[in-house]
Amino acid sequence: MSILQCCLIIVLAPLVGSVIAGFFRHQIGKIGAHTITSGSVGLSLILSLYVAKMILTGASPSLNTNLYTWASGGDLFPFAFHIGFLIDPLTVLMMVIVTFVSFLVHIYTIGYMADDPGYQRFFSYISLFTFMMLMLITGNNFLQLFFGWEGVGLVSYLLIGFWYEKESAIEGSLKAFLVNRVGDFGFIIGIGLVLAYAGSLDYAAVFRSSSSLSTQTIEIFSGHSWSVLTVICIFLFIGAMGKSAQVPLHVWLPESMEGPTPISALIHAATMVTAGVFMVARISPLIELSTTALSFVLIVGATGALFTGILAIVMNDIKRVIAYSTLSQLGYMMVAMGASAYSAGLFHLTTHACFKALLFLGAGSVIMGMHHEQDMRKMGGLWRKMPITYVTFLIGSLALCAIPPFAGFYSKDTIIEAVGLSTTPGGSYAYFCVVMGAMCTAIYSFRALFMTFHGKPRMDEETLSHVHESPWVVLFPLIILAIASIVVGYLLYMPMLFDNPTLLSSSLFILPEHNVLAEIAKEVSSPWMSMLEAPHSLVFWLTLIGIFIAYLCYILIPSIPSFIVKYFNIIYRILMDKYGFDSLNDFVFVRGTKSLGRLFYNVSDQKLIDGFFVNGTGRTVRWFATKGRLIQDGYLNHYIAVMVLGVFGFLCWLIF
Amino acid sequence: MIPTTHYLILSSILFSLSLVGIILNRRNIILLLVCIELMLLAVNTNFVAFSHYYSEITGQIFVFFILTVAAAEAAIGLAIVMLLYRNSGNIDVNKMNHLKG
Amino acid sequence: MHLLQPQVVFYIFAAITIFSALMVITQSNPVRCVLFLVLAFFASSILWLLASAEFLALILVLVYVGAVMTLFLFVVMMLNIDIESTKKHFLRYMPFGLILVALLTGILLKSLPQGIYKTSEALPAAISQTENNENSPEIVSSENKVTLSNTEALGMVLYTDYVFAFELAAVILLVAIIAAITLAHRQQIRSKRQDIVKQIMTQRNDRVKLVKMKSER
Repeated sequence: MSILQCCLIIVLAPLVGSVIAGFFRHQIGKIGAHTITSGSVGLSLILSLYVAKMILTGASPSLNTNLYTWASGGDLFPFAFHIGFLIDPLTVLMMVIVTFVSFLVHIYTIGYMADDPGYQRFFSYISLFTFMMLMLITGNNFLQLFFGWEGVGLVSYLLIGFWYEKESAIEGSLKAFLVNRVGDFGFIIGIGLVLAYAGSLDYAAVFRSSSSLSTQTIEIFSGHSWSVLTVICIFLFIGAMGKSAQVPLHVWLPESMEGPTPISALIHAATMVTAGVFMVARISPLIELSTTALSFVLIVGATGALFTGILAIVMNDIKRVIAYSTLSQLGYMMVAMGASAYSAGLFHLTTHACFKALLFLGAGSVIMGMHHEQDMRKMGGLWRKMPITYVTFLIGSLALCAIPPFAGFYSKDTIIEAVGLSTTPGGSYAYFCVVMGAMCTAIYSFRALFMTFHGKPRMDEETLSHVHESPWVVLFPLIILAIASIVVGYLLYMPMLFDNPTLLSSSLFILPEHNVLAEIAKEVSSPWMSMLEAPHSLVFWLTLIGIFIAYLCYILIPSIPSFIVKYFNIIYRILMDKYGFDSLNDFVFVRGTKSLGRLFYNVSDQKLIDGFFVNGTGRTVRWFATKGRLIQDGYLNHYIAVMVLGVFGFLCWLIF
Repeated sequence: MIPTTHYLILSSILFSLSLVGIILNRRNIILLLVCIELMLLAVNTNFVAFSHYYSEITGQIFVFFILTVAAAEAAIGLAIVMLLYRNSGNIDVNKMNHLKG
Repeated sequence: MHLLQPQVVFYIFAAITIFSALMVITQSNPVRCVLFLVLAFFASSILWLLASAEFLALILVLVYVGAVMTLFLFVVMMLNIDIESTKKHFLRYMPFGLILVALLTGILLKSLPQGIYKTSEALPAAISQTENNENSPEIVSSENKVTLSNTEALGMVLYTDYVFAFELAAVILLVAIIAAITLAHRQQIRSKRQDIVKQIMTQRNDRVKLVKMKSER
């Protein structure tokens, strides 16, 4: 069948599954729900692989069609909005990742949420999420991108607050949604500017006009004119900052850990947060022409990569550590984008999807075994009890730390090299950040591993006796992802990054002077060679030092952490406060808005409108009436006198 | 014979006097009714004077009807005063402020 | 002298009228008020005669004074009116009253156009009335004019052109009679009437009462 038909099924099958599981949840029961949703996502996965094979091997050309026109305006608004698909290598790559991870998460959830009353609702939501994400990546215009963007934000809200009776879950979901909204605000301004200056929202049309756009300027504040492209790209990137949790809009991701672990794996590791990275890659024709925007992306990404990585070292909740790790890795991806190494960033996205999902699911398995205990300080010595979980978690951590030959090595090292060679302003700062970030990554990931699985058990006897390996439904995705973490990097290294042309080259646009990957390609011949070259790089040794530090602090001499805490208390407190982002937001925005609201309510609404206008009118009328009432005193002759005076006045007016 | 203006002056003086009587009435209702009769007299005089000037009989016809209506109104007014007296025991104007708002 | 007579008569009686009007509004005793009103009517009746409205002048005296003012007097004398408390207020308000009079008169007079009504003669084509005899209408036929007395003239017009208004005036009087009677009537008019509500709401016990009596034997 044709690519278009495949595409329609891929996108709509999860939606159908979601609707059935959602609305008919009582009729089909738990088994029906998970079968239908997993089946539909599985179907999407198979078809995605098929489409990927067709597109990537060149058997079919890229597809860019409009299905139908959603809305069009008349003379005053001469724009048309379509619903259509753009299936090119970038899209199919994302499609495979999304459906693959989603399918595995569906399988995992069968085991994880087995005794949760909202079982069918959960499946409905994660299928709905898959649908939204697929709409986002298959769209051929900004409108559809935005539809999917908002949709994944909505489903993320629904899923984080899945256990809606928990107060912290509600707060977390609201925080995620609201912070996302701030990003979406910038995003929609960007889309509006695109529409205004390029006259259309279709990617093809916008990218065609990118060269003419690059010469236009816009005056935001009078007297300062900026390049339109820069402004557009920066606003669009603000949307990406919200969705992909870049600093300073990263504050929602740690709180999103209130949701069940499967969704942390699906949404906040592999798919939703990568939507921003995908979007930046999509608009590469636009952003390449604006060095300012590129360096903005670079600096923001680098800052996030380092500083959130540092934060992960002090977190005690296992899911928080992995959350901050995600933040850090997202920073890496954005750094890659900023350095114009789009393929490297997307490659890291792919490998990160695998090993981060693996880490989350592994953490979920641990939590299940520990009967929903998440604090690492109460864990320890689990490797005997949960061996398969331990092995997969170890593989994931190694991949994360970029140890060859695991997947993370190939992607992360390429990024670091590319940043080193990049000429975009801010490159050296970014290089410093990503290199230090690599060391931090090693420290926190192995800290988590050691605290959870090694050492003496720090929990009480009863919990220890109940710890057991998770069921096969849970372990199966872990194993699949572990295998993926090992081989994906090796397999995709050359095709994606260094072949000529690269896998995604038809989707991306890179200016020749920015093309750092081409520079690196001159020296790279095969993944095996790169692996052997690894000990030459500074990053490799920093990573090993980091692992050793973690080993030192948590296995050999466990008293070191408390020693550091005592003597570097100020730094510790700043880190525990997460650099004050949350406090600042709370103080300025939350309390500010609340007091502004109170001001409006008390002064403006109650005193001014109610008291002055509404009641005041009544009071004035009543005052006049009280005074006017005295005229009616009941004495006829007074009435006649007034009447005569009136006649008198009238006569005067008539005569004179 | 007599200039019409004289009649008119007389009529207006009578009218004003009766108006004053109504307005400055602090005594009793009877005075009110009496002053109304005076006003009607003034108006009648006016009509008669004009009727004489224009040699039209119409003015006198109108006086005729005014007299009729005045009689009717005086009768009813007095009946009302009687009732008022019956119900409140006096006809003091100062005590009649039941229309007070 | 002959020419002056109407003028003199006019001024005298005009003065009397105004004086009695003034007395009407200043007297404290209501009976005196009414009596002075009667005097005012008499004097103005003379004035109307001077304006050749004989019928009306006589009607004024006979009907208006004779009936209506008498009615006034009846009512005034019947009601028990307290004279004492009313005296002292008047002096305080008199200046205000005089000013008001002056103002009202002035405004009424100001509305008169200048000099139009100065002519004292009646306009031509008028009916000359020399007869004061109201009882026997005398038709003196001159060349082409019929001179009627005032009464006749009134009658000629009243029952032809203004007959509708005449009938209406009769109705007004009828209504006035009914109204006055209804208002002043003290007790219910004893007429046999049905009270439907009472008829429907009667109970058997109201109408029939069974009594046990011993037989006479």
